[in-house]
Order: sequence, then structure tokens, then C-alpha cells
Amino acid sequence: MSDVEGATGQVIELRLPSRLGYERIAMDTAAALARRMGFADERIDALRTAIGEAVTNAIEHGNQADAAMKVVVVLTVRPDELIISVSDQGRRALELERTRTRPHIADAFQRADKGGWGIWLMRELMDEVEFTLAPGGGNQVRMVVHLERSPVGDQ
Amino acid sequence: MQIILPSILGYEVIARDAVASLARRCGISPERVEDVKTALCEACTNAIEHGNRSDPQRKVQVLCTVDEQRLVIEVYDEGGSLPMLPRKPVQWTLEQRASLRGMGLMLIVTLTDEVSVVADPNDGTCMRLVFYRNLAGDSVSAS
Repeated sequence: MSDVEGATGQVIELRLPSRLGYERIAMDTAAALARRMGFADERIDALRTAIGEAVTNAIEHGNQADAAMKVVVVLTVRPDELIISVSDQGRRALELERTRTRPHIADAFQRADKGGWGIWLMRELMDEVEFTLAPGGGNQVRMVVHLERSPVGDQ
Repeated sequence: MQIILPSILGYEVIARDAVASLARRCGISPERVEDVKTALCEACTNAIEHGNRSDPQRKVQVLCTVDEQRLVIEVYDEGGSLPMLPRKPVQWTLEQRASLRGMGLMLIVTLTDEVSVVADPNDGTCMRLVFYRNLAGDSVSAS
């Protein structure tokens, strides 16, 4: 597909139908890859959560749960980092300014669906998070996790 | 669901884990999921080494579809030679073999419920592995 990325890292692409449940496949796939890259268990758990949120958003919001629309997850493996990009086909565009606000716990009690925390969680859990709108429509989130070489605790 | 991999040995295990995750979720027994994993790894390894001749620029594509009865996994490479499938029933001739190469296809035939190999229109090869879903006593099939 994209030779440009191929030159700087190996790319695995996953195309999923927009049906809830498939976010689990993305989580398991990314976790399997991260484990083999040598990420620590807690980083893998964080990665699972962030990808789960990103794919769920893409299914439910971006593609409005239309199973015929695809969610594309691209995993780029570099020696010192894993880059995850999740794109939808943009039935509904994300309001970019809303990706920067922090949700309030008080608001969470008002919401029946317990939603609203996904983007905040992704920003908390990943080293870099960037939201963009594709020119042809569609939302994309690009997340980066750095691979820490030293096993020595750094907290 | 579709997975696209570079033709580098080692990446087949990522496809294996993705497909295992799907297989588990569509009601295939844990024991049978192990068969799915082994067969898929062999098919991907074939596609990487033979079909794509380990050229990292060439991709292996794994396409999974689930219907009420079956999980169908198609493994595509970008060209090369058609592998020769042994006929069913497989005759195990382990002791006569000089190497373990070629065992992969026998494993695939043994572990799948159906298998076929076709030339794909874009010059590549497609190996199609079929696993029946265990529907006995399963209440969730028809939704």
C-alpha cells in the first residue's frame, strides 16, 4: 500500500467492519504486536485501552455503526516506537476543539451511557495523540507509544 | 475483516493472533482455535516464502468472513507458483521425508474442514481455509 511508510517501518493493516465487538480484535492484535516488540505489560494494557476507545469511537460515531463501513487500523513498527492510526469513513466528523477538553466528573453522572471519556483516556495513556480530518472525509487518530529500552524503573 | 502483512517471517504470528481472537469470538472451541492458528500460520508462511519470495514490499492479505456455519479464511499472496495440495485423506509419510518443508500443506489439509487453492485474478495465489463453527448447543448463531 504505502511505500513511504514501508521505508521507515513495517506496516500491518487491519480493516474491520463497523460492528461493536471488532474493537476487541484490534486490541488483541495490537497487544500481540506490542508484546513481541518488548513493551512492558502495563504499557500493553494502556495500549489495549486506548485502541479499544479509538476503534469504538470510529465504529459508533465516525461510521455510525454502519457495518458496511470500514474502520482501518494501521500499525507501524519502528525500532523505538509503535504508531497506531485508526481511521473511519466519516459519517460524522469529529469536532476537533472537543478533543482537547477534559471531561468533568459531574457531567459523567448526568450521562446515561457513561461515555465521553475516550479521548481524554487516549491522551492520558499514549505518548502522542493527534486527531485529524481526512480531506475526503473521515476522522483519523494517530497515537504513538515509545518503547523504553531500560528495564530500570523510572517512576 | 482483513489483515495486510509485509512478507517478513515473524509477522504471520500477528495475523495468527488476530484471527484467533476472531475465531474465539465466533464460538469455535479452544481446541479448534489451536488448529485454526496452526493452519493459518502455515498458510501465511507459504505465502511469505513461496508466493512472495520473502520480498518485504509484497504483501500477504488475510481475509476472514464469518457466516452462520463457517469461518472462512483466505490467504492471498502476490504471485508465484501454485502449491500442490496433497489429497484427502492425507497419507502421513513422515519417515520418508528428508526435511520438514512440505509438511505445512499436509498440516493445513489435516486441520481444516475444507481447503482449496485458487489462482487469484491479480496473478497471485489464494488459499482458502474453512472451519465449521460448532453450533451444537450454541444458542447465539442466528442473530
